[in-house]
Amino acid sequence: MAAAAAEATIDGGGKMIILISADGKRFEVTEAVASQSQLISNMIEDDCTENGVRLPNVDGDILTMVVDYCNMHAGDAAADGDTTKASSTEELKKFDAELVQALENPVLFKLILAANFLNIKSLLDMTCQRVADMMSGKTPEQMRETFSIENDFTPEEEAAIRQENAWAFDD
Amino acid sequence: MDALPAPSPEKTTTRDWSELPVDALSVVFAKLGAVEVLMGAGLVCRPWLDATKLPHLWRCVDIAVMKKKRAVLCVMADEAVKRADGQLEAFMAGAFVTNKLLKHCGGVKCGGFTPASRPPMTTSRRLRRRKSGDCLATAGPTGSTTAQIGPPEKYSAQLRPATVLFANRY
Repeated sequence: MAAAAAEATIDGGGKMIILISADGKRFEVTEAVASQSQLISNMIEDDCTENGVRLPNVDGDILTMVVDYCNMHAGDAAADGDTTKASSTEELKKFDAELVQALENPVLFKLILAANFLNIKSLLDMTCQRVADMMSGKTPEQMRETFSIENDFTPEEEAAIRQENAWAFDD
Repeated sequence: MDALPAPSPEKTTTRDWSELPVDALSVVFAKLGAVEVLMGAGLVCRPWLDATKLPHLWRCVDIAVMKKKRAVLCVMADEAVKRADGQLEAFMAGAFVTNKLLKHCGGVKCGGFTPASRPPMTTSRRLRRRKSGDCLATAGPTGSTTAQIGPPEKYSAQLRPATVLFANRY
């Protein structure tokens, strides 16, 4: 899949950039695709992408998803891009919805970390919206269950929090 | 040659949602909205509670649609305004809003006045509390906002240019 993602962009024109994941997987993408990441966009401006961009915080499987996402969205980013290649809005919506719905919690978490680190605003928005949807309407206890979060408050703190935030516990 | 040593599997697979970076958590909380953050998300664990104390999360507070008792809504709205710590830019609420809360929205804290230093978000807003007719907050184009909240001799404050909207959806 990684190879396919890189392959698909080779005829996309523009200078190519190599992204290297934490586990050493290499992804070749166009500048237009890569610069949807503000982090990489800044690196391109500073001319320091010659030897590939190492991303020690991002696993290969997550970077595959990020690259797929950026490939799909490169069309909207490029103002005068090749319209035959740019994905239609409908296609993009479908792609995004399928991507985000299919994510298991740990993958969603890692994708958020990657979007945050790479500074890809649209991907961060989309993944964070998914988390917000998962939280919506839940009590603190239900949220802890959903996200397997341990209640790290001491009983005393918990009591104080309940008192200070009584609105959340009273009906 | 470019391969870096892979991080240990534990580190990459057993991430804890309570360790979500604050930047990302802010995005989530902003999407969730003030009410949901006050109702639950901020009470899940310590790091999330800490994140809900960030003033920029509370720039836009919408407590207009909520099925809760008036007193509860008031306390929540007051808390949201308090957490905004003077950064409140837009406040939307229902008829439960009290004079005291409006005064708080204006940036008046502990009996003192917060100078209106930020540029206005809107050039002109006029609000009136309909039931008693004793609240009026106007944001002027100069960035200085004044409120006369009755009884006038008691509350007259220089407001920050927060936009205060009343939604009569009840």
